[in-house]
Amino acid sequence: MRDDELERLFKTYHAPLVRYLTRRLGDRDWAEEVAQEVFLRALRQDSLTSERSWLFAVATNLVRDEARRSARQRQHLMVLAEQERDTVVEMPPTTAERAHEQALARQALESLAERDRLALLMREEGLNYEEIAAALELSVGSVGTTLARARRKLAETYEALQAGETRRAAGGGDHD
Amino acid sequence: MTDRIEHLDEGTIHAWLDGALSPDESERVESHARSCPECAALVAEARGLVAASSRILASLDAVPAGVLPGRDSSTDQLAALRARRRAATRVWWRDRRFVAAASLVLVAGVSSVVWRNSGNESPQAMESASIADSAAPTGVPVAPPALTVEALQPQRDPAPVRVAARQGDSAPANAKAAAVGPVTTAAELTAESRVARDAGQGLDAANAARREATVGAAVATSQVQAIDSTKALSRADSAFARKVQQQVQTPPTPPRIIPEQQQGAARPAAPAPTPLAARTRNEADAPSAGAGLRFARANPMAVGCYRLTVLTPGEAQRAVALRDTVQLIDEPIAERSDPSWLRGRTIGARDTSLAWRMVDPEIVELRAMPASPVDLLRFRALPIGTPPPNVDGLTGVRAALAVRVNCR
Repeated sequence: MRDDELERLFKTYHAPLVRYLTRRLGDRDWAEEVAQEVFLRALRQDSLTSERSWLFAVATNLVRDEARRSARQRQHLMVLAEQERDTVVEMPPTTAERAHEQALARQALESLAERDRLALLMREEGLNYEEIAAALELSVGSVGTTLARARRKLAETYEALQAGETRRAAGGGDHD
Repeated sequence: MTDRIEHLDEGTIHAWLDGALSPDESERVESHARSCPECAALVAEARGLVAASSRILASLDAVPAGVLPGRDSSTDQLAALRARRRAATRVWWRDRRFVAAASLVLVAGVSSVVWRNSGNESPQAMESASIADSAAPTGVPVAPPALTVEALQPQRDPAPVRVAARQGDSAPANAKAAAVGPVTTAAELTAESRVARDAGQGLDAANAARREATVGAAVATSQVQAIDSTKALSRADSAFARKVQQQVQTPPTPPRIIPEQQQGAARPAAPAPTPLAARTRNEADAPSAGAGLRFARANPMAVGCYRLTVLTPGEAQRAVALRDTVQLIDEPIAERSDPSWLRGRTIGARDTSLAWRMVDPEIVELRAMPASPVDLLRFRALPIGTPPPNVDGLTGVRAALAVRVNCR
């Protein structure tokens, strides 16, 4: 692959890939590492047909293998990383609130089935149904149903989490 | 006659909203929604779900990336990618250092000169345990190279040996061994293959062997690494790998030492690594022989400062203590002839000089200057989620986890 090809590929797809991976992994550094790995693999190809689908498929598979490894080991490294974040400044209230929303969003996203989650994240990056089907090995006809299910689950779970917190914040078991 | 169209199902509605339906199908959906209030309500709800999902997911984007500083711009990323690509473009099998590694194996098999000169007592073959955690010799090796067991035959009988070296091109190379230098049995590598000719003939046994011992280790290391990385392949990658496999008949293996008495005996080579270790696959995730050295100078992502946590139990490092910050600098070290070693230092109370290099795309090898086996330390600058390396059975090597920090 020529250098200008690489540049075009990079400029077109790097940002969406990183965003897709960041949403999936919850960690931007990790996302960028994986994105680098994806492009390195792309370099090895003479050319890519269906390049967006290919890139997202490779990214997805890389992430899948990471996710299979022991959760405990992941936590070990998380602890190390957290220690390094000690120098982060205190968060202002608006940022804290946004962080809270993010935590809820993450929880809601995690409640989805993996395939539904991935399909939705890909759709958010502009992949069309054919690309999503190819990347996730689904039939094109089932992508619509998958996305419908994913969106509903995400929105409903998120609302439920929010409602649950509001209830708790209102005090005890006081329901009206 | 009116067409009775079924009510719209969720999947179809979302497909329509996503623009995935053909013009005909879209038209049908639209016209039905116009005339059917229930379906129109479903469509409205679906629109709401689409918007809500996007909004919810957008809140996941503001994730801080403070652990690995210096990677904030896309331009940097592209530059880093280019650098990694340049690093990997040399064809490994023509690399002098690979051929020197072939020589090394020969020497290691025929005599104990390497061990003796380096102060090591027993010429044991060390199996390459796991990815990066086998004790590998460096500029001043004290441990035997981590070669695959099949490749290393301790030679009690100082007879000349025939080496069958399998190179990246299909033709196996036959090498003859002859006496060299101060050792009881010597080796001179004369290979018929083009590769060996490129690298020159003969062998500066002890020194060259020592210096290039790391490549032997890199070969063994890279074999394991290559095998591991195959798990992460996508189908597209697998298809490409099969294509590569057809192109490259013999993946790189350390040369085997076959005693002359057995010349003719068909001895299988060391287990071939997956085809991904073959020469055409010379990118970061499947390094082949020499890759460890190849990355040393060209991985800008490793340069920077790290806080280390030493993993292996045992005595504390003299040069790098627990929780020290080390700085890896992209400068060669004049005192060392091996250009793969770069400069480093600890930051803090003890400003110690260090030497570092990459033994594979992830793993940094760090030692104090002057080199001392006790202070050899290997660490990975790992992204979150990568499991810590397997540190069982290490000798002379300490393993650590590194977290990237700001250089102060």
